[in-house]
Amino acid sequence: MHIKLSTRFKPRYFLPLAIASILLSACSTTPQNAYAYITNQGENTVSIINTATNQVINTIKVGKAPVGVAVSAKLQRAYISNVESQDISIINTQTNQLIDTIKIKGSPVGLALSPDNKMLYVADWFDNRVIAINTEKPILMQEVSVGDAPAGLIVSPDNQWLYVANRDSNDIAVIETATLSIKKRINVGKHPFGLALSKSGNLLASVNVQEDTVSIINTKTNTQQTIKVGYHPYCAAFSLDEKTLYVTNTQDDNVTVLDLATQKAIATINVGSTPEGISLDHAKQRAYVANWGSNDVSVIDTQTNKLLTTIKTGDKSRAFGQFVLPKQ
Amino acid sequence: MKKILALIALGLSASLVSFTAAAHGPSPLKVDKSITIKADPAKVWALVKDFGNMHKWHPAIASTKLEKKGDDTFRTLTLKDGGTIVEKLRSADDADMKLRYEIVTSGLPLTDYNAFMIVSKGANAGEVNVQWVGRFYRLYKLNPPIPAGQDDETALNAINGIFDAGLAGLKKAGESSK
Repeated sequence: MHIKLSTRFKPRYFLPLAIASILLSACSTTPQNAYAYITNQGENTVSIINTATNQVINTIKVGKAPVGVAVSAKLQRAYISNVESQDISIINTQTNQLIDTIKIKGSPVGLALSPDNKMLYVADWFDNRVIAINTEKPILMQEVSVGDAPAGLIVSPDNQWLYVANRDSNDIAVIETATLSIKKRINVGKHPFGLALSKSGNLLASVNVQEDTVSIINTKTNTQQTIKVGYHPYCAAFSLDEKTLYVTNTQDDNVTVLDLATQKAIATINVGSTPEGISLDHAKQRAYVANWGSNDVSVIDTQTNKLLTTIKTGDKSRAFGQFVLPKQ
Repeated sequence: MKKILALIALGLSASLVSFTAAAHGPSPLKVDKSITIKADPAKVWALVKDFGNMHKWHPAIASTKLEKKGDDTFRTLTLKDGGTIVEKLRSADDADMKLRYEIVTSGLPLTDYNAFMIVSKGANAGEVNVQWVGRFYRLYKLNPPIPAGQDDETALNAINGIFDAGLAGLKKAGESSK
């Protein structure tokens, strides 16, 4: 075999071949793709989008009426809340297959992972509580009563604080994660739903559905600003530099791009019908928007604030939460 | 037709519901229906955008009353069985041939209803497509057990009935020589 090869290949081929094999082995040990996990409420599935190609690479059957998403590169997991089957589906992000289901007492909607990946927080919409699940041993669950209809939730980068938007109490509960006790309530606009936190944790955005505003809270000084956006906004995401906020307006079918320094809209981008969840792929400078009404995902170039493409997903796409898993 | 009126009547027997203040369950409902009409797009769009004359094409509606309050436009639909639905116009976009509106009050067994109708070119020459999409929630906002007549199915049936009859009526009006 060796003899045959050495007679067939001239020496000048050896170097490129060696480089190619190094590149190949590098690819197989380090996945090069970022993925977006899109819940499709109407058909009980999750569409997985490869953000490099903007193609749906897999569609996975999950529980009934999936809404929320939380992703972890470290755990290589995507967690999906199924509000009607009252459980959490767990997807292995290496294989992009469903690997487990956790039963929840209640109706899970919002999901958030702690930055240390040890805890998964679940907002139980009907029973007005947040459930904390140990990601290593999901059987270990604790709970805390919060306000009425808890929706969006997010954990501070230092793991210390869990913020919960209580839609029907018009406030945000600030929960100390170590003790799982409420330390503060921040009044915001009417019907807060989605929450977003800037990378440093200094800015917290609450999207107030029935007031058509976002509240921007400075978590260090506790000062608050209210900015008008579109009709019935739902979710928001910060740019990496914390200067810009992207907000979905469900009943205007567009996304408002807010400049936080001037508190003015610098762009309004038409997307699909009834946009709900929004997450950014910072590396590729794109925003992904799940459109409930048109069953697709709009991809926005965040450098130009223009619509890049639209990806067909499944019936009633929601993707509530941080649903883009960065390159691992 | 009888079925739709019965469904609407069923809704009206429940008390009037305010559509702005009420909370709702976590899963919004959607009805998305389309019909192909052999007519000129401009003619069909003229029918759709005429917010104060829905009774001209919807068979369940006896009359439509148009009202302006400041910058806002409302219509009160009086149904053939006597019930009423008050709707607010959100926009009527001639370029996209798209009408958006929402329900302010009604006796229908649902809440937080908003909808759009869009007229577009059909697959073949001389045809237009009309798409009608509504988003709403069931009447009952809390955990199961859900009282009869306030569940997802009842809400969906009501809107399915209204859309089916309406699109058939719009086709009839669009294709008539009048």
